Amino acid sequence: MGASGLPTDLITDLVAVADAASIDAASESDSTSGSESRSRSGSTSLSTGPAPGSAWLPMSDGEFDDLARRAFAHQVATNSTYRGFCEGRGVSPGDWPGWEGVPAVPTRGFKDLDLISGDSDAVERTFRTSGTSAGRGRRGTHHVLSVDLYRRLSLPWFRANLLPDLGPGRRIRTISLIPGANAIPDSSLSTMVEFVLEAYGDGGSLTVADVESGVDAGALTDALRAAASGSEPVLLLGTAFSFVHLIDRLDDGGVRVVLPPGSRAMETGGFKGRSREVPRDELYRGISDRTGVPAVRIVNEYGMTELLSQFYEPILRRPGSPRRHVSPPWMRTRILDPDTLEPVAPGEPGLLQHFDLANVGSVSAVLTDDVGKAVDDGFVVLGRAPGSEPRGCSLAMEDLLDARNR
Amino acid sequence: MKGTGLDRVPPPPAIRAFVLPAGVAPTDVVRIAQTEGPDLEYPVFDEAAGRELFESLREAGRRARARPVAERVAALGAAGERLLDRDTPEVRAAIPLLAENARLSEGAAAEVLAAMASDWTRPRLRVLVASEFAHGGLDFESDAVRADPDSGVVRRRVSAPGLITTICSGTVPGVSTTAAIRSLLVGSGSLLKPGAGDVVLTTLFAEVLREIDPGLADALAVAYWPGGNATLEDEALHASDRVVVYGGDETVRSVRTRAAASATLVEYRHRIGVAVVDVTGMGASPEADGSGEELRSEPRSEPRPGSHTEPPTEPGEEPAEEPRPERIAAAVADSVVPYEQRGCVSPARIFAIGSPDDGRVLCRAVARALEQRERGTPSRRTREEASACQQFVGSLELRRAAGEHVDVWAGRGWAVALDPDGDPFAGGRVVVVTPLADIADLEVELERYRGRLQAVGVAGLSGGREALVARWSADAGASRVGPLDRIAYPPPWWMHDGRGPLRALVDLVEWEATTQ
Repeated sequence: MGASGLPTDLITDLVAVADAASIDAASESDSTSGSESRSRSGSTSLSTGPAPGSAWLPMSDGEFDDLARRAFAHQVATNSTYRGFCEGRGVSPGDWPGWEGVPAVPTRGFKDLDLISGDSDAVERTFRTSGTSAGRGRRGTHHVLSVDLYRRLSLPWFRANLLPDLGPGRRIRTISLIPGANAIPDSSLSTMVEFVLEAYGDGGSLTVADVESGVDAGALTDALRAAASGSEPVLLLGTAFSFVHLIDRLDDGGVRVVLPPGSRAMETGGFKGRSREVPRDELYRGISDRTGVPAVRIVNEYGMTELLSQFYEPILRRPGSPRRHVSPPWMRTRILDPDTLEPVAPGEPGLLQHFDLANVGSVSAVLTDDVGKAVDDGFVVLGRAPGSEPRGCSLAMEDLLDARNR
Repeated sequence: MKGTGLDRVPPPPAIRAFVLPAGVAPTDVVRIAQTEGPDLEYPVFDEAAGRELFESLREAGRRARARPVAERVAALGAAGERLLDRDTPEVRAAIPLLAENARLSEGAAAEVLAAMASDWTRPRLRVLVASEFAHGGLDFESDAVRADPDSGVVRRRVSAPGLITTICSGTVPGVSTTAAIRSLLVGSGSLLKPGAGDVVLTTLFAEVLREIDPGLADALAVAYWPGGNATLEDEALHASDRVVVYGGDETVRSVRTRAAASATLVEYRHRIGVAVVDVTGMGASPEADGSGEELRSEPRSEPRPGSHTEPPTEPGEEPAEEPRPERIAAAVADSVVPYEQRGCVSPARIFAIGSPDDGRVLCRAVARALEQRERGTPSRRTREEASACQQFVGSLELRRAAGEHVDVWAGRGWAVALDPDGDPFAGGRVVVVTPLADIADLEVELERYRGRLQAVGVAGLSGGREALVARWSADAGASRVGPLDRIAYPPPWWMHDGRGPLRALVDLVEWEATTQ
């Protein structure tokens, strides 16, 4: 055990997997891109993206199952609440039902309870969900025992999917529309963006948003114009809402820029029911019209506070492949019938349940309330249709909780 | 999907989600997919076509008002009675569609249709009109003079608006039809947007009414459209004298900002129902819980021992009749099954007056009852409802594992929770039981839902306790207190949101006559 109560050997193996994956991603890109690397100013080495057919090396089922077994053993040994939960589901600490059989906690459980597998006094950071839409009026909390582990697992997968063409030691001009972790320390997304800026952002990278005033129109315009005047590709980072603000601010100022070829964007959020105000294709058209970043180079990230790993659409790594979300090797997803929690037939919609080894310090098996369906080696998140009505005339619980929390 | 076999499969049939007055045609008909259930076809009106529709409805409403109210009652009641006959071809054909549209099993759809239509009969509508107007000293039909002791002789008449637009939401079948009947009873032209999950019953009623009384049917347009931004909705909100809106806070706020200043708004916001049952002593009687361990619906984990407290007694009060767990559990099941806990008259939380052990006995009995209902009338949850239930059940299991005094029983399609600190749960057959050792604590609990409380079902209470519950419920803003087993089926004249259903639609005119 380490100081945080995390299993050192498991962490070592997990980080090794991530490091290897990072190398695999780079070699995948190098070996399949077929495009010439460009390097100007000695700061960036990017191609316009790898060619189709490349594949990120997954972890074998046996390897994953072994790591999952060790993570589960650690969690039931150190987390009495989770141990009781598993026993209630008929799984004893000494059992190994395979990762698919591990009892999954609902995301709502992160709202109701502190789920810590390790030394609760060693929590380094607590991430919180942004809303209070369910569960006793609390925000979901995810206590993180090792921020360094979060960084070491999130960066390689980000790089594999957003920067597959970034040469070793190279950096990219990054403009973030997401307030930094100093402004929102309990945001897992802001924290990850900070990692990205530190690890991959060049000297001209910056954040053009803050919590109070949102997107800073002047800073944004200046940053985009400066980037557009050069020839180095740019990375834009934002949530769906912040990109809507970007479009509005640029429209307000009559600004259109064309960022250099090879530029790309990561967009996240905006796929859960009411929060989806602008259809995705419309949003991407808007971003593309105002910045010159083609829609096919806008990557959606799907993540949640309750999981320390992220899913990305691998469309830069595998251009031309269908949009779907793909997990890193240290994570697996099942799609389950909402009534029975049995796996659905391939292609059928169901609830997404994940097993995330990065969650070793909390609980790895997590049942979400997101609906998705399998596509190729990943899944698409279906969410709720825009304009869908609440069922019944009974009070929407959001309304009640909102009213009580005011 | 190009390149797969899927694009060669013809689209499934859509439900036609509109019935328009004779001679009125939409500009276009559009098909819209639903998250779950069949697609809907809805009409689109440009501005000119919309104006024609409104004028047509106003004119038909004028003609309807010129007829005696008894004729309107007769026509509407006859249409309702047709829906009571399950052997008619239109009803037989409608039940599977209704089930699909409202996401109910066919058995539940048939039960709901029968229950709702039984309130749309001529006798029931006559009582509705009488209770709203004649019994209140209002003159709906003639110019009969009524004496007012304070102001002298006045004639009070009812003035119906020319055009009522009603915007419904949700999937509780029958709500939209009831709204249509109310508008036509007062003699107004009526544009009615049913909830997406309530189009089948509403259009069926409109079609049957057209067969029975085409003239009255011309005063009604049933037209679904996706909420919030349709041109017809904006035009209707400007053109109507009264706007009735059923929906959540967001919907109501949106309608408020868009309706004409001259329009009177009648708002039915989303609310919840609760129940209060007396379970004192249940836990002390082994006989009462005799079959608890043989449930298919065993709790996923063994219950923790709860702290048992003596049943509270109140000085001078007659002891309540010994409540039988099965009887109260059956009433609970009767209240949650028909509308899958989606209605504001469904109990989203059940306060069980008694000890935690008493509450646990009730939970087991409710679990048995719901499991039994599941076999007879299977639930049909939406994915969202099923997902919410899984989150709910898993969360309770976690809390129990963390040492909280909660418990949960669950089966396919239902769940029962014993949760002293539970939030209400709406949608799906999920029952949240909160034990209250002292009935006096109920006042505070009900107060938490002030402004959001609609119905309070009661079972097993003594007369004195029931009176207390009624008083506290009224103080908290409830509009209905009644027997739990019938709480899901309020009569047509119930004071929905505290208002008379017909009086809310009309204005009153006082004529201080200058001659006798």
